[in-house]
Amino acid sequence: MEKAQVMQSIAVQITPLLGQVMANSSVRAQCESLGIAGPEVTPEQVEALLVKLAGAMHIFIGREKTQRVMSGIRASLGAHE
Amino acid sequence: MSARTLRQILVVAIIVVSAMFVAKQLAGSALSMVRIEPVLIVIGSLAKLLTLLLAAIVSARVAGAFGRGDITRRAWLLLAGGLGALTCGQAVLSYYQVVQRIPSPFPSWADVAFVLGYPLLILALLAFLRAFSASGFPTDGQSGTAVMLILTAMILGALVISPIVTSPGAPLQKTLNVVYPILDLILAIPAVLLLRSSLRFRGGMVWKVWAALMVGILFTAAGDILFAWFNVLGQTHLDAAIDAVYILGNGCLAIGALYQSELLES
Repeated sequence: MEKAQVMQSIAVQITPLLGQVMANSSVRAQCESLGIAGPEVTPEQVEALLVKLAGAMHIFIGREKTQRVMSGIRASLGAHE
Repeated sequence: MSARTLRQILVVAIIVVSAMFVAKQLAGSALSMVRIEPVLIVIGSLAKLLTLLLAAIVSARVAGAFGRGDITRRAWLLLAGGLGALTCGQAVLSYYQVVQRIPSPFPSWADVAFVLGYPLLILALLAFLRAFSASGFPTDGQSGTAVMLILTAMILGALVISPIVTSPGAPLQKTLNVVYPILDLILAIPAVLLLRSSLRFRGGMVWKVWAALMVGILFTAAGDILFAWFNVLGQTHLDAAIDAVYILGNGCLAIGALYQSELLES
């Protein structure tokens, strides 16, 4: 999958919760922390990214809501494949 | 009724009630001539009580949405406890103002509840700060800001408290008039730090929660400090303005809790 498209898809889904700046910067920061460098990402890398984001977001929105958000992201990423 | 609808109704109600007190402040003694003042006292008292009660209940419900052992759950429970204590204090004041139709005495049993509420609120905000830090979202610059805030609070505290300490007055009243500003300034430090942290979430729902909660905390603290200051000086001509500050503060606390509830429901 194209990394830029994945990052944008995720950021769009979490922007209503975190705001655009934090959504973009947190996706970028988590990609860097996971060493996702190239233009492409594997499904395993995407899943690792989502797990990282979920770990941060549940502090603010609880685990149940976080799971719903992550399910929505997975569904939208699946639609783009 | 959904959290969103309740919040929307509350925003309108808070604006209307606060505006009434601002109008009363601007109208000065003219309003007392038309006997509106007793009605406003009741409305203001109930507004403060009901918004605090709502904030406490919603905060407790929000805590339940987080898992056991979650630091956020503990923080929301502490917040609910602190707001509950403030509600109890306000209930005592409202009893005098609404039921007995007399000015609430100072000090009174309400102050026991108010003073007990502060440690819970401070611990809640410190727990929220730890949660923000543990989230992994960027929170840089907080240490430097904290140092500046502590120094500012100390300077402000000295300015506010020294005339209180040197003023005449009953010992218990004077003690409370010193204790309240100190506790409020301590509470303001983590509140400003949380507000600063939450700025990074601007444009999102998380920002709305924290902006409302922290503005609520800061307005309530400001109301307390102003009350203590003017109480010592024997000045009552700004009571309506101080009431408006309290109503806005308590209202924002309830709105912040409702935003969090809405966030979890959506």
